[in-house]
Amino acid sequence: MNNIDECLESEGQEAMRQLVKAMPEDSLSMAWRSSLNEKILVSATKQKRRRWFLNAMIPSAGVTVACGLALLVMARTPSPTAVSGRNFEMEKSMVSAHRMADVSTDLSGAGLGPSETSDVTKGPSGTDWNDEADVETL
Amino acid sequence: MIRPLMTVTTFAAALIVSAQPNDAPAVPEILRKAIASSPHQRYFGHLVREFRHGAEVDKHEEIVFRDGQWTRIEFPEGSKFTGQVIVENHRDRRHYFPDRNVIEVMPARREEALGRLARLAKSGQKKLKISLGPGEVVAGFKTEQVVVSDNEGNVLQRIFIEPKTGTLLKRKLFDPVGAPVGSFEFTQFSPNGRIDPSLFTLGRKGAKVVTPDDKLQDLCTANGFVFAKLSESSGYRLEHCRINKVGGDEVLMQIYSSGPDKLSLFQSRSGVNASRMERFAKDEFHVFTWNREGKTYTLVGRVTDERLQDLARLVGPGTGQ
Repeated sequence: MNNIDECLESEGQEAMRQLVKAMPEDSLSMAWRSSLNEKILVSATKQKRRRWFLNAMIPSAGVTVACGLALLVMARTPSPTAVSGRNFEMEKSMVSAHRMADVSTDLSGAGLGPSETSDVTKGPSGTDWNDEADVETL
Repeated sequence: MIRPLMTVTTFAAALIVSAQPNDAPAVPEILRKAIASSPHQRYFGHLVREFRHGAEVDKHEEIVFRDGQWTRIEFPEGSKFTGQVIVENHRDRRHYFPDRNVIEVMPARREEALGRLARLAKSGQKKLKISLGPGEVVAGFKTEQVVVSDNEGNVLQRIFIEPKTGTLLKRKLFDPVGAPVGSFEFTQFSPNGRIDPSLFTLGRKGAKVVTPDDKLQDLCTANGFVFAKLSESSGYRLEHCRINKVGGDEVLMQIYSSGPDKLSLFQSRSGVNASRMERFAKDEFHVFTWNREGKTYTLVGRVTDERLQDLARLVGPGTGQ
């Protein structure tokens, strides 16, 4: 400890102390600080605007993309209700038609089957399945 | 050739009936007799056939000549089918249309009439009840009645069998709520008489012979469907095809048979929900669908899913006429 005290009171340290004391004392420039504050304020405002823009635009862009996709899908396919209803009838009719074919020979044997008797009256172009009997569990 | 076939068929029918599992319904003796005697029956008769199409009922009369595996069917004067003749042997059914001068040839189907019931009785999968009911006099002959119903007692079929010959003289099918789906009933029946064998030939010079394949190709061309069919290597033969309409949509339906087994192949322009079809089929049938060249194909049958997938691989382009 003594060594440090001795060092601080050495001639070199004393000369340095005098030199520092002799330096002129500067006062802080208020104009510079004001200018700095203004710059910070402008910068903060810009950042705030950019953040608001991003906060508003990102969800809007997402909603826009989602709407676009939805429109694309809706434009490509018929309404879900219509498809469901139509397929419901289609599938029910197909199963019913197979059931009728499955049991028809129980009745017709070598004779005329139901499709042959209906062909005569409705023509060879086609039969309306909605007119077919549903033989269900037979 | 025919005699061995008849023996094999009789033996197979007897096997089917005798090899029932424990949960299968008991088959009455009279029904066994009908199944066993079917390949040997010989008779002449008139019968009335009815089919219900929605609210309408199609009713017509047929004149039937039967000698074992051979059957000839004509239609009386005044019928809308007058002039048409059907001759069937153990393999083919030939149907002559005088107005078009066409003979349509398709697989024989008479043997299926009792085969399906025998198979259902064997498997027990439908949980059917088979019982005896009071007989009726049909075409002047006393009959015994076999009643086929479900476990809840809903009657599905009534079959009236002449006991001496085992011939089915009357059969009625009902829907789940008891409404008749169709029936046939003999109005005249002459068993065991001699029938001239020449009645079982059907040939007419100049008549066009049309096969189910020809008919399918015509339908596909006229209605914009792909001419695709199930290969005969599958064991199934095309029996019939037609265009059906569902709410403005057209669907091509092909019906295939292999003995009493039926298989339907549908071709449609719009998609099909297979799981929904399975629900409608109520475990009775299985369904397999796939898409090819902008068309949806659907196979429906009383076989396993794996078998349907195998059969689907055998659906390909049909051969030309």
